[in-house]
Amino acid sequence: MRKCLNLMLVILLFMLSLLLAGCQFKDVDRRAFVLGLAVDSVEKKEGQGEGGGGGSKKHLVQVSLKLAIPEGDPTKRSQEAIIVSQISNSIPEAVRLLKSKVDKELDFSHCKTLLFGEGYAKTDIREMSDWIARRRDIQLIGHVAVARPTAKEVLGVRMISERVPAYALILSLGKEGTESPFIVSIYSYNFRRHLSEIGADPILPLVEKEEEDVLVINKAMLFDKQRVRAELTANEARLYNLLKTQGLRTSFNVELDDNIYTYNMETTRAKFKLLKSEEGKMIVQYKVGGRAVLEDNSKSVTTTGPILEQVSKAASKQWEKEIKQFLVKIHGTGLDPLGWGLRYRAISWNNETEEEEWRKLYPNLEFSVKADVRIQYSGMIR
Amino acid sequence: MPTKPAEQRVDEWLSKQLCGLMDFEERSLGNSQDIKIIFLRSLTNSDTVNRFIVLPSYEMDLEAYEKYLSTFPGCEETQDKQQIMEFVLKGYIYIRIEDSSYLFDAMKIEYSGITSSITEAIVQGPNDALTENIEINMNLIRRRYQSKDLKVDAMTIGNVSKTTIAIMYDDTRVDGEVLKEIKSRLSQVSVDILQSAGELEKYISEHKYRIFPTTIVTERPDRVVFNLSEGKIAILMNTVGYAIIAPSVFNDFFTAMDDKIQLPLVGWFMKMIRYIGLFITVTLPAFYVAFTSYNPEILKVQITLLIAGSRAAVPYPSFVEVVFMLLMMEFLIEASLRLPKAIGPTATTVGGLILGQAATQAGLVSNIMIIIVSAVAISNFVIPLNMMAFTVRVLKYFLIFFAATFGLIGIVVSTVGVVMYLSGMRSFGKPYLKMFALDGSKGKGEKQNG
Repeated sequence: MRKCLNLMLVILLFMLSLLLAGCQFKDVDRRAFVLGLAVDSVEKKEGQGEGGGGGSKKHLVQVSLKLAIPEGDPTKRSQEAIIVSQISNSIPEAVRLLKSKVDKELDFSHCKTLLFGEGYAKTDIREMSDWIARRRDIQLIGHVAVARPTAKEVLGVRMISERVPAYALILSLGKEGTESPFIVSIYSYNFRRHLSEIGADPILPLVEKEEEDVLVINKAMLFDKQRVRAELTANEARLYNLLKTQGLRTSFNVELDDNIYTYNMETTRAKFKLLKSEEGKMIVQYKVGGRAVLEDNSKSVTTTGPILEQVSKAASKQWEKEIKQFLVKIHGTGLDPLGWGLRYRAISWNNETEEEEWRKLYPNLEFSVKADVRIQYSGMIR
Repeated sequence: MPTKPAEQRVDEWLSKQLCGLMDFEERSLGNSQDIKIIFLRSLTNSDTVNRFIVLPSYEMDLEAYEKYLSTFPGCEETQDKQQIMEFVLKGYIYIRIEDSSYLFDAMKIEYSGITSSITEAIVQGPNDALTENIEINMNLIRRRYQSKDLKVDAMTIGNVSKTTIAIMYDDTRVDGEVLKEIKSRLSQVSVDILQSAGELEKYISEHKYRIFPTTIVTERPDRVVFNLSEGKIAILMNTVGYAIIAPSVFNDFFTAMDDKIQLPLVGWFMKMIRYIGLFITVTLPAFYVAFTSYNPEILKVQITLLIAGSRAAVPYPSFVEVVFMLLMMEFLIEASLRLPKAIGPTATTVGGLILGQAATQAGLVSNIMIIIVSAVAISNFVIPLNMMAFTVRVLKYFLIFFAATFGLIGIVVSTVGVVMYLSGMRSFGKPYLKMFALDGSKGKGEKQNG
């Protein structure tokens, strides 16, 4: 009986101690959720970069965070967000300084948008990417992008359609919402991997602020292992997506007998092979193709079987031309966003020398593209 | 009149023992007043006494009357004082005719007729429930199980209550080991009063402190019959409207008698629903604690912000909020169970209004919490057998505790712990977490498993 009573007392005390949760126990309402993170480089001026601990003031960065203010009433249309930013000479230091600008504990666990300002991306992104990968609470399924003119400005854009702060960026960069063929969607783990991988180079989408509440994402930036080297236009970004993904949803135009035919891709496929030519050169041979449905033509010509054949042929020819141009342009930058080098390393046996060999082979790469577009008639009731 | 002194003593001894009782009756009958009857009024049927004992005693002589009495089934001659006492207390009438004494069965048995089952309602199918009378219960069962193999062993438990229990089993299908085990455990039970099936269940189970029931307590004769056909053992008790079925495994508690009425696919779906309900009711509050306090990154942004927003006004940590709301819910359930029917709706109205609306508006709990509590309460009642439903009600606090101390890891580990505990359990020697208690090799049993 005595024993039982003691046990009860211990249990009771134990239960009561649960009420003393203390300050370490941070509930969700005591955390400030960072939904977007932006890093810009700043012109060095006197008196900036406080708390940096002196040292080498090689460069200064401005870190901006978009914080969500939780709204309890889901019937309300929009949620407020605040942006706080801090200039310092390193990202972790800036984040630490930012902690004293907000009343709650910063929580990066929902930070899925990571933006580099264009200026920052053109200098050196290694620190940022390193920090992202090391920080425990930033999930590696975040989306990385380059922002123009500055990351802070892009982060500050509040789209009318978004209900959760920075969610528009997540939806479009991750293609969860829009399925635009111009958006190159890259997860941060992939970005990080390509930064260190031999034989593949990172590529990031470019987010541009067009108006006060409009963002455009249709270009892409090519990186070497450190900074931006080239920019892809919208059309090139689409071709990149065509070569990189299966089943891209897009449409193309083709001109035939002064008539512009627009066709919508139902399925697309693309693959490449590395072939050795007789002169010892390496040929990257792309085979692309897909099934498409005719969407319209500018002169409303009655579509018949032979016409569709002709259009298909013309479209294939156009693809071959455009893709080859695109590949040559990429080759001209000396970068490898499509991972040819990776393929070479995968199929060659000489592990010790393959890197060196690829470095020698790369400048003389040749490209050939075989396209096979089949355009079908969608059917129409007359 | 020649009377033996020893016999004189029996009825004198009897009336001496019982004379203090209010309902004690002692009468002398017959033309010559030499028939003596002793009985307890409250236990005997006065109509029977008048028609078959009092009236004939004036119409025939002693010899004929004695013969007449001995032809009745349930009438026996005895001289054993102890037996006479016991039977009189049961509702027999003690009759002394000259030097012989008889016990005449005039028991009056009051019970609440066959009603439809309340605690295990089903949509279609038989609605009879077991009654408080063991004879009628056996009638209900035998009528549904017409086989010579259905054996019944009787026993008496309770030093004071003298409750008759009947162990029913199908001789050809029962597992001999289990039967032996149950009989030996029943024979070891030593209590004064036995009034409910739950009590007996407690006395015959292996461990004192356990949380999962190892025997089904049911009020449905069709469930008893179904389990008998599976080779299980049913224990019926007099004065108790419930039967105990053993051995029972985890899966049995999620079988409703509807399952066999439904089409197979529908039946499986219903069973799946019950297991999902079990999962939700056990883990949902724990997940809420874990998500709000430890791992908000698992949820979508919108939900995280929604929870954070609705919790903004709540001053206490998440688990206090959860435990507070769940306790309120338990009070509500308990209160609506005990309240008289006439004021029952008050509890639900007041509880529903106050807990649902006012608590959130006052900022004591979050909106999401209300949804979780209602989901927990509703899915708890999906479990068809009450014993298990009550167990699950308790079990969720265990998980909340570990969620509050270790977050998501705590939930995972405690769930694994519960599964391990279940795997280690035995119901009368049968593994508890096995899908079916008895092997399907016993013919018909397998086919009937839902």
